[in-house]
Amino acid sequence: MRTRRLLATGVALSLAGLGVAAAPGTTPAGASSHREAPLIAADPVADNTDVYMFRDVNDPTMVNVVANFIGLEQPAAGPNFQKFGDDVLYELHFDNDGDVIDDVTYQFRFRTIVGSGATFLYNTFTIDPETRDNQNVQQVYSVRKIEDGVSTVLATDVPTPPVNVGPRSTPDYNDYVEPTVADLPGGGQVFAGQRDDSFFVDLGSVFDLLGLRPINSAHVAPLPDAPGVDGLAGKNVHSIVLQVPITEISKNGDVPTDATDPDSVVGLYASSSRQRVRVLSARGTAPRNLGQYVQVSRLGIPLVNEVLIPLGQKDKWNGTAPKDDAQFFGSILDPEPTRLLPVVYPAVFNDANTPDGGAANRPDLIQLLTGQVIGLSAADALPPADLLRLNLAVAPVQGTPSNSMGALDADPGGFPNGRRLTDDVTDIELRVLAGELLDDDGTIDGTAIPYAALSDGVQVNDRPELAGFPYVGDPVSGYDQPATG
Amino acid sequence: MGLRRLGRLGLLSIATGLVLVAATGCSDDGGDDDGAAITTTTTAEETTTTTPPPGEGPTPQPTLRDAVVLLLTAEQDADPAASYRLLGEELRGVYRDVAEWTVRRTQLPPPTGFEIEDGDEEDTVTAIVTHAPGLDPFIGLSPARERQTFAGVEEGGGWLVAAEAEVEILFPDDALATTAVTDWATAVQACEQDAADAIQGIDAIFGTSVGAGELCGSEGAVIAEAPERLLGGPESADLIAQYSTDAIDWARAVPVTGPTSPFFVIVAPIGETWSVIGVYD
Repeated sequence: MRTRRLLATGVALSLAGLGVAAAPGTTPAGASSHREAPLIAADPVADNTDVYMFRDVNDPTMVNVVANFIGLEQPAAGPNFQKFGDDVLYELHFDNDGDVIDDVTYQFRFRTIVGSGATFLYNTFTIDPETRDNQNVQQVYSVRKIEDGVSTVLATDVPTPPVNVGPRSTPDYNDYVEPTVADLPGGGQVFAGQRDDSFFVDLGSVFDLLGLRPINSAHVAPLPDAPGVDGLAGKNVHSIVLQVPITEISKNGDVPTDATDPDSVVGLYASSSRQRVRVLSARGTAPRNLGQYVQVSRLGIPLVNEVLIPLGQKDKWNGTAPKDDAQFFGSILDPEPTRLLPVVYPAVFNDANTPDGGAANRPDLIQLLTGQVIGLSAADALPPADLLRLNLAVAPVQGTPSNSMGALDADPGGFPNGRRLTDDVTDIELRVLAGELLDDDGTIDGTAIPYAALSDGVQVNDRPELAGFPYVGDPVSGYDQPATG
Repeated sequence: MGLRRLGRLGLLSIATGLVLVAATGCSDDGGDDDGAAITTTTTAEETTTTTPPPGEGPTPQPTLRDAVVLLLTAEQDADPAASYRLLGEELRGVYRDVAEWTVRRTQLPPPTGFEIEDGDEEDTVTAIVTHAPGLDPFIGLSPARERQTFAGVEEGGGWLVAAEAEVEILFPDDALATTAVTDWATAVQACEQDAADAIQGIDAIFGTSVGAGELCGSEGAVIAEAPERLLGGPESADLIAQYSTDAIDWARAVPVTGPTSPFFVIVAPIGETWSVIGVYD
């Protein structure tokens, strides 16, 4: 099925190549899109790590979007705990007519308010959940909507909750959430603040030469088989959570009912931007920012930039709008992880049972990029792009660990029809990249091994999600941060 | 939603989809040019130029003045597809399609009116452009009035706009800054927060000040002096983070003395006067 080029070079040479790309300690760790590109890895407050979009199971007229930033956030990060960037423009971009250009955009800007600069303390005693008294460092934000060239500021000075410091400062942490949820004009609500990282993946093993602990013994550098380890367990992020009426983002301003109608599909990507010029001061004062905003991070479909875009293109990818994604299709349609499977797992994969790259050989990936796997016919296929697409006419399905494989288990309510917090996108994409959608019987050709065996062994988040808005689970406190090592 | 056994139609869609994306990437009309017009208060003069038809490339005009009038009219109408057609080649190199031009438009205050100033130069046109005055973290300052200077370029047998306009904010009289701060400090001293809020340009002002904090209930005359340029030190760090370094250009610091320790009040030119947006010691 695939060319022999990689195998012909020999395993040793290929592993040398792998060493360049993924040698432990020489490249940044990554998850869905945590520290996934060289430039943004050095700018965590602008680093968009994950984006989720799902219809609300409690109110099916609503859509929820979660955009996470500050990947691998240590809970015990005092005295200067993590916060959103005051000089970063955060955005959620919706395309509802399939042209891969913004139709509705929501923007977020943050502002830090320091009560007293005469103390090093983040908080001076237990923080009051309602008034935030004793919280010396607070952050508020504003929300703007842009549609048809018209901008509307929806909310200003919306408070964020304190970070989860610990039981003395922020006891009963969930009490801090509700007072910082703000209603939006036109319906819906918004929240921004520290949350648990909903993403789960065996970060340590996957980036150790594409290791999957449950099948460690089949690896070219074998180790004993072992359960997966969630590399993001005990880590937080900062989340922007937006709930909007479907009518606010759908093409026709209605709640679509025909899942085969392309007008029912909305595409989303999140981004962050910074001003073009930053001038540092020699006197220790704040940097000066100049010029227009330029995009420094973006995310639609999980893991695209993380594992499909080569190192030399990653920063360019982050600065590119999805309308210009065609330039990256060569990498996306000839996925490097797929090419590496026979190298890393030679006992399982070979050139006969591993998909070739290229548009003609990967119609499954084209279907993923064009909305055909979420209800559209080939005739109604949307332009391929890295947008997280959601068919608004498909009824919401509560995400649970038992349906975390989404569409791979015939669950229309999960990834890639949007993305729920519980969807196991790592395993889904791993199996798709290996060719499961191109195969008929669910087993890897020439073997009795089911594609389902391809798993990092982590199928559920380490902490529970919330039953209602903002849905993302409460963050780990600094006091309770798990010991490392 | 069958995922497996992709057939011939699936392969056909590949070609269709790829062609569509290629077309999108090269498009110069962006496909999103059907935005609803907004009500405007234009002061544009009568013009004999022709509005370019939608979806086409550059439409050079007989004069740069004509091009600028059309461009600003399109900006008033929230129609970036129309204004994009007035851009010269170099500017089109910066903004490669309407979508990129549209994003840039959202970073700037939308014009509510404009008036072309008389001038003799063929390749330069100036206009007084008005905006709905305001201050927000997305656009920054929306000055009530500013002078925009456009450079033109001859291309395709006519004139197009060569570069983004150079902008000169037309500030209110500096003396009004002193008046505004006097009124604000007097209201604060009288503990009349509503009156003070009415002079503020934003709900939660920037910074902290011992002197300002002790003003409520104090006795003795409060004196606001002539405004000074805001310095780029710690006193302006939060302002710069929120509104960019542009804040250094448009903000003023008014020294205040009186019954409490001296402090400064930061004011912004919102509308035809100055509004309080911060304090520092």
